[in-house]
Amino acid sequence: MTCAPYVVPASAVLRCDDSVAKAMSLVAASCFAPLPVLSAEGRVVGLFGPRELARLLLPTGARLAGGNFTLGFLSEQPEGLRERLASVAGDDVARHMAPHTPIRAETSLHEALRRMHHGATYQSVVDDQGRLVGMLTAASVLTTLVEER
Amino acid sequence: MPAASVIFGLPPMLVATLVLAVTYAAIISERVNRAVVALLGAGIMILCGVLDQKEALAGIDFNTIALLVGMMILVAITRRSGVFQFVAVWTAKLVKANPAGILVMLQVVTALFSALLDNVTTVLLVVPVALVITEQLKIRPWPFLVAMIFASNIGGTSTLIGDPPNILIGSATGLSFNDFAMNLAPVIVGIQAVTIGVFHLVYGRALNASPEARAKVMGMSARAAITDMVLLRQSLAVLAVVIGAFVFAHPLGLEPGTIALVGAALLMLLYCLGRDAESQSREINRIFGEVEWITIFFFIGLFVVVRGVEVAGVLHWLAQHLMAVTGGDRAVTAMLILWASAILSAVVDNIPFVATMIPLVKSMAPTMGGDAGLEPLWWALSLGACLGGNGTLVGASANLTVAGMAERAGHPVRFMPFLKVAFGLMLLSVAIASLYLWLRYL
Repeated sequence: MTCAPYVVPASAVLRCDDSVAKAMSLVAASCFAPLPVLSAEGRVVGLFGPRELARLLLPTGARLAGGNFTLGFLSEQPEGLRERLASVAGDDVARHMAPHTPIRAETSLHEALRRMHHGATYQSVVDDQGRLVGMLTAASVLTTLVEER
Repeated sequence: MPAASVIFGLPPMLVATLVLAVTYAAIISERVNRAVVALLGAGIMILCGVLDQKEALAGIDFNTIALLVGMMILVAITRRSGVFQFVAVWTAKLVKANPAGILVMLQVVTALFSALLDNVTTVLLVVPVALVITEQLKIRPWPFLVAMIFASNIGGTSTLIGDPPNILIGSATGLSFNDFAMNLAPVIVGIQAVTIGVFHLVYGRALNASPEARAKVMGMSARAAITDMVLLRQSLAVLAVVIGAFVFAHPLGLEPGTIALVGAALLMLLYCLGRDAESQSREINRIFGEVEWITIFFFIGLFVVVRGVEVAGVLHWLAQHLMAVTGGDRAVTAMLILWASAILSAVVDNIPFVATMIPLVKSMAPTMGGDAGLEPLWWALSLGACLGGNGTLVGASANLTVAGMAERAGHPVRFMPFLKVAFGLMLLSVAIASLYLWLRYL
């Protein structure tokens, strides 16, 4: 049982040199789902979504620190967050995307589910040539399973 | 003498020197993880017959390993309380968010933390807070990052537990926490003060932040950085006991490694109280996961490699030649060790260097009038190896850690700009150390 029947088309794709501003609007238009980022050769090299956007709202130091770093001491107004987001709006999305290894369409559904269990809730799916086929998500799997009943 | 027959009947000194040289070269090249290199070097030393297994195991200084692991565990738990962020924010507010004042205070805080913690851990704790503060102040973080690199290496020199070379020297010689504090802390305070002055003159006095930006920092709540007050109290209490035990280790007949590990176990016990078995396992696993195992296994491998070189007689041979060069004069030898250590530590990892130098210096004891006569040489080695790390960006692990964080933060600290500032300042610090050694011991 491969994951192919459960794959849905990506609502949009990003290129490495797309700006964060463009990425933000595309992510928003995709109901804040993570989008695949493609290299110039068309290969999936990362994901960019709400998690990456939320990360960009943080001060740089907090982004670099480990999990035990707290920001409770910071007293900042929403303008500060907007300023921070504006300061990276022109950056290439490749600079802020999450690294991502796509799965192949013939990957077993169980293996894809195992990856989901370990946090890969959005997985890009590629064909033999490494071209993007679509996305596999918990929602796409569950929706298809329910429809199959 | 080598305990086993050496491969192909080759001279042990040749084989041991080759293994050491290749291990050093591989560590410097950084193409393979240094722990892997050191363990392979250790294995080759045994497989080539320079050492047998018993001799190799005897070469591993378990006191050093225990001290490193114990302190890493103590920090891993203590940092969860938010105390390090508290101190950084509190000091920034203490100087009314004045950028020049913050530059001074962050150096003081980094140096103090570094005296009690590993340098890399210190910068990992303090640099993110510094970046948050400089971002709020809308000022360039470069001077802060470079100053904190310096402070971490300088502060770490002042105590037995502050920098791995000191841990190695202390464990190998029996010099106590108090010995290090009494002999090194005075000169380190002076060197840090001079460094703070230089950074203020070159960078600090030109730093400016708008009143609005300063108000943002003044609006920070240091108290809110504390995430777990109970843990904070427990951590500080255990750390105080551990430091107290270091101070009284000699009369208590305890080794620093034992103290650190018992302290770590005590804090883990307090941290686990009230948790169910599953939660305890999960938390202890996480804490153990924060131990820098690469460093630990690097040390283990290195101890065996150095033991091989020592057993093969290479270090004895080197010591004899060094004595011939210096004429056995203690002052000349101390200065040679200080400056050679500083220059070499600016370009190579000071841990393998010091690990190799320790048996070499020890073998000079007969010429220097016994173990007591070696003491200035140990201080020279410590000061040279630790302060030398400030000379270049690759001179110490803390430098590379800060450089890596700075790069990711979009404020890269590059090799040449750092070198232009750092090398001269490093030479100045070693010159001060020379003067101190000369006046106090030689």
